[in-house]
Amino acid sequence: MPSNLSANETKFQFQGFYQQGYLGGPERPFIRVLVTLHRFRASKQVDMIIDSGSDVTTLQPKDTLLMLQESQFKQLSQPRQLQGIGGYIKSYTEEGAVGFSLPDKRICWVPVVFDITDPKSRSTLPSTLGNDVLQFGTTALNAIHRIVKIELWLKTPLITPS
Amino acid sequence: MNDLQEFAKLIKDIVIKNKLFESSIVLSESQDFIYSHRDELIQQYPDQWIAVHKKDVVGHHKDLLSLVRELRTSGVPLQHIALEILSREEIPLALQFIRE
Repeated sequence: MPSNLSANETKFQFQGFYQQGYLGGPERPFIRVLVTLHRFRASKQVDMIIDSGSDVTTLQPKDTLLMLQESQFKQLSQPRQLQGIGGYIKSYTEEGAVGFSLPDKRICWVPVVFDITDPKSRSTLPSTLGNDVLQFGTTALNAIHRIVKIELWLKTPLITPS
Repeated sequence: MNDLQEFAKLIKDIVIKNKLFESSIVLSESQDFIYSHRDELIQQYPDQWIAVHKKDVVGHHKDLLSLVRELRTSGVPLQHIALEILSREEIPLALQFIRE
């Protein structure tokens, strides 16, 4: 199951998409990925917002509530205070992975640490799965031409057939 | 995670146990239905969270937690459900502290 790709097959390109008229403005692109939370053996497909802040980050609103039961939030690590607009939001850290679709129905998995915001935070992004997987590459966004291009450089990629 | 083998085994176990790829096909249909019918849905469920299974709205509520509780008790397959907030006004999608 682990990749046995040759050395020149460690650069991967993925494409996101823009959703016209979507909440947050047309300049907010998305990418459809698979997400796993290892300790809870939970997984789900999610459309993640690609947030191109000072440190490029992907954020996924709302889907942790369908992956974790409310009681499982109590099993998460000690919360820390994450700075948001207008104040601090309670957030937990959890290990997992993000899976990007490759041609031929293969998936490229990258282990990451997620910041899971408290679903009761009343933020406009409740139950967010934040992560910085894009630190492993570059992201090119062009809202006018509706181009979202992500390139990841991975030394030991895990590629699985779907 | 010790090595790639261990990571691979973990991913494989989770993917198979949850039937992730099968559920992703249905979830894509659910999410794409929201994208393509967003304007109509906003008219029907203004400023509410909606839950969609394939092409059906299976729940709606002003409060996300309440909607998810209803979904869990109704027995709908959560892996297939797309959730969306249908706000009439553009709100910033950002981590935002809102005082009661």
